[in-house]
Amino acid sequence: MRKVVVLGLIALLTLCPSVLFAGGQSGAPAAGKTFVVGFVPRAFVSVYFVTMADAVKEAADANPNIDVQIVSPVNQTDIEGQIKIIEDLTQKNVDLLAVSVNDPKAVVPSLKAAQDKGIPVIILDAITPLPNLEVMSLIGSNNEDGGVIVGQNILELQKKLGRKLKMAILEGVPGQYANEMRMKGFRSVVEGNPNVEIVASQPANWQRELAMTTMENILQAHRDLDVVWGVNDGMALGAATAIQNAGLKDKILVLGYNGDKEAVEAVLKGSMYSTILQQPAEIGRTVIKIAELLRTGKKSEVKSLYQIPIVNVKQDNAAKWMPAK
Amino acid sequence: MPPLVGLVLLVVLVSVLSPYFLTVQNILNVLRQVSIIAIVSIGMTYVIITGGIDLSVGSVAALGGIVTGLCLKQFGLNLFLAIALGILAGAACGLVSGLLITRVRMPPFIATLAMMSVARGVALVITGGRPIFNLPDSFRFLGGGLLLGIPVPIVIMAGMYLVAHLNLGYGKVGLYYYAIGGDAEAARVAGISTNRVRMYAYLISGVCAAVAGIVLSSRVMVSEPIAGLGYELDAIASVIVGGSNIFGGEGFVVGTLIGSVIIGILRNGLNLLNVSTYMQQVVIGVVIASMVSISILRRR
Repeated sequence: MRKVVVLGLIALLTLCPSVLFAGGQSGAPAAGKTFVVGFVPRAFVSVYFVTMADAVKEAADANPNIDVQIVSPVNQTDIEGQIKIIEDLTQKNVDLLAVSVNDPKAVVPSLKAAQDKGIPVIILDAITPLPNLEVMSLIGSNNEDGGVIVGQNILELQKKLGRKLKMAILEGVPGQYANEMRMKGFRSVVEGNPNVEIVASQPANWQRELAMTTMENILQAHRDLDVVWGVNDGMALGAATAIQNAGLKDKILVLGYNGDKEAVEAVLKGSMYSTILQQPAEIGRTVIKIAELLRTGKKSEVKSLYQIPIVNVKQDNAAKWMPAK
Repeated sequence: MPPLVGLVLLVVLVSVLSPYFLTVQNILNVLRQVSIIAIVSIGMTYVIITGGIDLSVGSVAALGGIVTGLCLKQFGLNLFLAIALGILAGAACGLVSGLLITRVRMPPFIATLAMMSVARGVALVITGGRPIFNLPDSFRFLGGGLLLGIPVPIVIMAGMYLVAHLNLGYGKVGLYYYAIGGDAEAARVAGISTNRVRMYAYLISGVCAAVAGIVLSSRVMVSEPIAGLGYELDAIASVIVGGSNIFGGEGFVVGTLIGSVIIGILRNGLNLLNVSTYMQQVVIGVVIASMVSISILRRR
């Protein structure tokens, strides 16, 4: 009897992961599809990459000849994990490697190895060339430039305010690529400006509840804030909830980043001021566009740069940029 | 006892450094903020006392929140039913972990590590990776409401700690958890049903994690598949800083509560003082290590 229970449990355990990862993360391409794209996001921790992956998958499903394998590292700090995934996909000889890198320097050797094997490499969500590596195409926009736009929003708000603007920032995981780039862009616009005072800049690790908690704590010491910037939408929404609970909804403006549906809805309703959309769905679709060009032998038509405009989502254009999901 | 002393010292230190700390509003904030981890830590205390560990609590918390959120938004179920189902999901996870540990004799570390991955995966699959938002307003009370002027999460935390304290300290089965943690073989020979008691411990841990996840969802009014990341570490830290023996056999929930509060105050204080991002990591690590060292050295 016990053996049956044991075997049953083991079977259940092995089945679960297989069911979970059935969505194209392993094994041979679907029958009939000849061109395989390996898509490696930074991590699935943010809705941003879920949106991008969904767009890639949708476009691939609509194409009878293109298959996509989506393999993601556990989180954005898993640099080694991303390298391993790239190496695995190289081993499987995919026809195109589309990567959004967690560490531009660290992945260069593995990407070079893929290229040496004849696999074209395209980089997503960053349009600054990688050090010492020429890839086939760069797609999207820079996180740094998104940060610049946030900085410009702040300057605009400060001018409207007519006095010194006091703001707080809720950062993502310290040291992570997206975080550092956005902050860099932001600081380049705002640093040294005597009319903008950053009273607090605290990490909330991209997490909503930690952002809410941190915001509550910051509000204890600084009830007279004018603006809060959450470096991703999850944190911005957490901060917005804290601000609402403190009864300060009309006094403190909340800015986000990523253009998640929930955030765009909040901007439309007025509980958030703005968010930055780097158009993940469009980036995803472009990946398959390039795949199709390569498949049909039109390699020369593939551009080396697909710059996709960053959208500064505010109340007046939120309806237009509302994501589907 | 050391945890209490540590707590008092910390309170004094932070009060001196920041004038915003010792206000009623801030203290209530801190208690409300720690309540979620504190609830998770109750279950972790049980498990650690029996000589085991539960790494899956963060994932189970997320799953509990997701199940409740789904029931509310997708299926429009009654509030109590939705919460009950969420707790049931946590219990199921605890049950599976317990079975793996007692019947298959997997080391708790491995079994709960697997559950950590599976529960998180299930949450991600169910939601497609996206948060469940626009939850009904009726759900707000659990995480944001007040009961007789006290925030509901604090009431829930206090209630659960009281029950756990009575159960571990005076309940019939209470003694057995310690016995198993102290010397499992001796306990078994003495006639204690070690398998059943261990099962209870992991079941309780799953339930506590799920309750915490549901309160969390109510607090932020969103159910996220990525919620609860790192909860296991905070919970273990709370239990150990609170004076329980990591190898089992000794410990008490009141200590865990103090441990949770210490960690909560640390974070709160560091935020209030606007300590740099990078420095915070160092401070939290150093404090935890010091408290644990004191606890271990005292035992020698």
